[in-house]
Amino acid sequence: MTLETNNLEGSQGFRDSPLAPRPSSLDAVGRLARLVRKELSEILRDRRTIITLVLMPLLLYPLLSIAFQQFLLASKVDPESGPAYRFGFATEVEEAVFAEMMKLGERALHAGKTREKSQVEDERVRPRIESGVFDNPDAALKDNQIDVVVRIPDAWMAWPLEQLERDVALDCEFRYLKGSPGALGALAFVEQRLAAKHSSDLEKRLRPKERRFRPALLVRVQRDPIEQPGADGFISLHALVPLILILMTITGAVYPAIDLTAGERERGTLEILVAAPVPRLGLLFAKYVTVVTVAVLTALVNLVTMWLTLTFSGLGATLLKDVGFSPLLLLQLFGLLLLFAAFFSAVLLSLTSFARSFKEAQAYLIPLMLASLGPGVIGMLPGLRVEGPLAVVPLLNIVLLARDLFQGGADPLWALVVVLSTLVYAAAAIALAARVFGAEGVLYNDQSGWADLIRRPSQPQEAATPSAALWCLALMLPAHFTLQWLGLQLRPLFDADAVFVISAAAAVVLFLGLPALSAFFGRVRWSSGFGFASPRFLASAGGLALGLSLWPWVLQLLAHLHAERGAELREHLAAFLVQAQLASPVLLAATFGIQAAVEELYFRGYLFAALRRHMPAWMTITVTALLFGFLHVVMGGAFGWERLLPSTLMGFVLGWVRWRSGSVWPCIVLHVSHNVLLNLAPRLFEMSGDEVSAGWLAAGAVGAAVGSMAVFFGKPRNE
Amino acid sequence: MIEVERLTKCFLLLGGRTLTAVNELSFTVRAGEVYGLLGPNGAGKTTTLRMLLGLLKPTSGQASIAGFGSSNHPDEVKRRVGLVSAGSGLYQGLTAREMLLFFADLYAVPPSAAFQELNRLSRLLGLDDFLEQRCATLSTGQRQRVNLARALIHRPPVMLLDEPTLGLDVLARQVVTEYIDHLRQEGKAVILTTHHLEEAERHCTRFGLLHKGQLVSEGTLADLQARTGCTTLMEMFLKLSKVGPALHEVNT
Repeated sequence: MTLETNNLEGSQGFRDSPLAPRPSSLDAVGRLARLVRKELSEILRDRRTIITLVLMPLLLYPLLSIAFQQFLLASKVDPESGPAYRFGFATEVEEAVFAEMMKLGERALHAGKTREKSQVEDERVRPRIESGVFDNPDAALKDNQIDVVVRIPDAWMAWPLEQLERDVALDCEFRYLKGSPGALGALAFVEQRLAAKHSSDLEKRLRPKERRFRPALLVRVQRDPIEQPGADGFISLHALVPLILILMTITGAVYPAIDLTAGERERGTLEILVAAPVPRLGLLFAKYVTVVTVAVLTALVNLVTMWLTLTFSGLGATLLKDVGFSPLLLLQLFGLLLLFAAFFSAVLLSLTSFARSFKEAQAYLIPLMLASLGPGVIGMLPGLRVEGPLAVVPLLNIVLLARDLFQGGADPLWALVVVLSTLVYAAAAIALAARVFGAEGVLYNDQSGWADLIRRPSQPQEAATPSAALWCLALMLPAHFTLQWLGLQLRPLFDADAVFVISAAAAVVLFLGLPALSAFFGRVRWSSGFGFASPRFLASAGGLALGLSLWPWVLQLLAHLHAERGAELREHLAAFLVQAQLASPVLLAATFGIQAAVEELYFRGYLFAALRRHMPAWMTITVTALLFGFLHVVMGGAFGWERLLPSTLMGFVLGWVRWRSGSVWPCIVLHVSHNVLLNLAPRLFEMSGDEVSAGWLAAGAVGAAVGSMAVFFGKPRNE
Repeated sequence: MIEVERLTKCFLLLGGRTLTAVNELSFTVRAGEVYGLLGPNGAGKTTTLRMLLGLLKPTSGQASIAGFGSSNHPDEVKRRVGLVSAGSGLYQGLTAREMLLFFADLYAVPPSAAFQELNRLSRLLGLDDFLEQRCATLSTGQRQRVNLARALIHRPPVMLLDEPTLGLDVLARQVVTEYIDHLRQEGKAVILTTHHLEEAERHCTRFGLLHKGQLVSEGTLADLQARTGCTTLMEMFLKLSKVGPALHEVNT
C-alpha cells in the first residue's frame, strides 16, 4: 500500500494544503543535525549545565591545587619545626660528610644576605634533616623509613671537611623511589644547598685580593630513581590526574543524560517527541550526540583548567616531573576522554531511559557512579599494567592507559585493544539504549512492565537484532579472559594434549554458546539466523579450494610480520611450536578445526545475518571482517599485532564467500581447512617457517583463483 | 479516515495477571467529524489513542488512519496525526516560536510553509504576545495554546485530543473548545476524550461510550438518548458506571 493510493485528504474534503512531503535520506540527515542542535541549545541554556561545565572546573582545580599543596606540605611538616627530610647512609663517614656539606651549604645560602621579614618567618617551617645509618639502606627506602639513600663512596677523602688541604671532588648518588613527593622535596632541598656551596667556593677563589688558598669541595650529583616496588609503592599520581578528569567527564554527562530522557518524560515532552514520524533510533542518536558533546566540552574545560592550574601553581613540575604536560599528551588525553565520553554517555542513556522521573534516574545512576569509582581507584595502584584482562575492563583500562601516557610508556598494541574494546562496549550500550528508549514497556510502564523488554518475541525471528549480535561480541571479551585465566590455573593439572582440548572447549563456549543463548532468548530461527541454508556444491568446493590454497600466502605474510618483531616474538613462537610438536597431529587438527568452525558460526553466521538485514552487503562484509580482525588482536596475545592484517583480510574473503554463497557452510569448510593447514603445514611439509617457497606460493595463487571462480559461479539459483 | 477494528490491548501485570485495557473495540471516524470517546477513568480511552498513533502495540485487532495501519506503517500514521494530551509538555528552554518550528521540522514541513503556518496559527490561537517568550515562563493556558499549535503545525488531517482542557480555566477552555469547532469546519477527523461532558455534548458529532475497555454504546446524542432513556451524557455516564456491561447487553 503506498501513500499515493491512500492519501485521501483531497477525496475526503480537506481544504487545507496537503501533507508535507516525505523527507529524503539527505533531509533526514539534515533533520538529525537540527535535532542535535535543538537538544544542544536547550541543554546549554540550562544553568545547571553551565554550572557543571564551567563553574565547577574553574573553582575545583584551584581549590584542589591549594589542598594538594597543603597535603604535600602537611605530609612532611612538623607544625613546630617544618617538614622533615629523611636520608639514609651505609656508613657513618658518609653521614658525617653529608651533614657537614648541608651545614656549609646552608651557611653559603644565607651568607651575606640581608634577611627580609618574610624570610625570617619562613624559618619556622624550614625543613629538618633526619638521617641514619642502615645495614641495608635500600631496604629502608622500600620500607618508607627514609626518603633518599645517599651514597658518597669517597666520603673518607673529604673528612673532616673543615680541614681539607686540597680540592676534593666527590660523586654523590641519590637513590629514591620514582615519583615519591618526599624524595623530590628532599632532593630539591639538598641540590639548592650544594649549588650555594659551589657558588660560594668559586666566588672566594676568584676574589682578586684573596691570598690564602681555600680548598674547594666539588660534588657531582647523580639521581638514581628506582621503580616503585609492587604494592609497597606509592599510589600513582599519574593515575590521579586522569581519574579526576574522567570523574569530571562523568559529572558533565550525567545531567544532560537524565534531562534528555527521564527529564523529558517527566515534563511530558517525550510522548509528543516519539509521536513524531522520526525513527526512534534517530531521536536517541541526537540525544546521544548531545550528551557526548556536553561531556566532551566538560572534559575539555576541565583539561584546560587543570593544565593552567598545574602550570601556574607549580604543582605540575612536582607531580609530573618526569613527563610534563606536553601538547601531545594533552591531545592524547583528550582523545581518551572523547573515547570515554562516547562509552559512558551510551551507558548513561541506557540507564536513564528506564527512569520515569529525574529522581528515579538519579537513583539508578548513584550505584553506577560508585561502581565507576572502583576501577578508577584500582587504576591508581602501582604494579597494574594495561594488558590481558585489564585491557578490556571498562574504565579501568582507560585510567591505566592514561597513566601510561603520563609516564610516557603506553604499549601501542594494548592501547589499540583498549580503544577497540571500549568502542565495542559503547556500541553495545547504544544498542541497549535504542531498545529501551521510547519502548512501550518503558514509556508507559505505569501500564506495562519492564518484563516486556526482556520477554521473548512471540513470533520466530529470521535473524538476530544487530544489538543482540553485538552484545555477544561485547560479552566475548571479558569471557575470553576469564576462560583464559581459568585455563592457566588448570594447566598444571593437565598434559599438553589437554591444553588443546581446553582451548577448543573455550572457543565453543564463546563463539557458539553465547550466540546460541542469544538466539534462544531472541527466538531466532537457527536456519536463517546462523545462515544454515544449503549451498550449491560449487560454492562449497570453491570454499574448500580457497581453504587449501590461501595458507602459503598467509604463512608468508605471517613470517614477514614475525620477522619484523624480532627475538621476543620468536621466543613465543618457539614455545608454541614446542607445545604443538608434543601434541598429536590429529588433536591439533581437531582443535584448530573446531575453533575455525565456531568462529564462522558467529562471524559469518549469527553476526552476518543480523547485520545484513540492516545494511548493504559490502558494509556487512567490511564490518564483520574488521570485527573479526579486532577479535584476533585481542585474543592473539603476543601475536596480536601480527594477526590483525591476515585475520582482517581473511575476514573479507570469508565475508565475500558468505554473501556470494548465501550460506555459512562454505565459510566453515574454507576456514577449517585453512586453519588446519596453516598450523600443520610447517610440520607436515618440513618447512622452516621463515619463508615459503615460490612453488607453494604459485600453487596457492592458482588454487585461490580456481576457488574464487567456483564461489563466484556458485551463488544460489534463486537469486 | 480513522478505522478501528476489534482492537484489543492486554497488559501483563506483576504476578502474571493480565489486564485487558481495551477489549475488541471497533469504531470509525469520518473526516469533518468530532468523535467523543467518553468513559470513566481507566475505561481505556488513552490506551486506544496511543494504539491509534502506533505508540502502543495492540494485542490483537487493528487501527488505521487514511488506510495506513498503525502497527505496519507507524510513520505514515504519525505524519497524519496531531496529538494533544493533558500531559503534553513543552521544552522549557525554547521559546514558543522555536518549539513550533522545531516540531514543524520534525514533521518535515518545509521552512517557508512552517513560517506561514506559524503565523496563521499564531493569529488563530492568539500566540503573538508570547511567541518569543521561553516556554518555562508561560501560563497554563498559554502552554496549552502552544501545544495545540504544536499539534497542528504540520496540518494533520487527524487530531487526537486527550483531555485537552484538563486543568484549564474557563477562558483557556473557551479557546480550546472553539478551536475544536474550527477543526471540524476545516474537515479534520477529531477524536476527543474529556470529562467535561457538557463540552462534549456541544462539540462532538458522535459519541462512543467506553466502560472497562468495551464500547458499550455508540451514536449521535439523539441515538444515545433514545437507546438509554437518558437526556444528558451525565445521566448516561452515571447509569454506565452503575450498570456497566449490562448496558452493552441491552444495546445489543
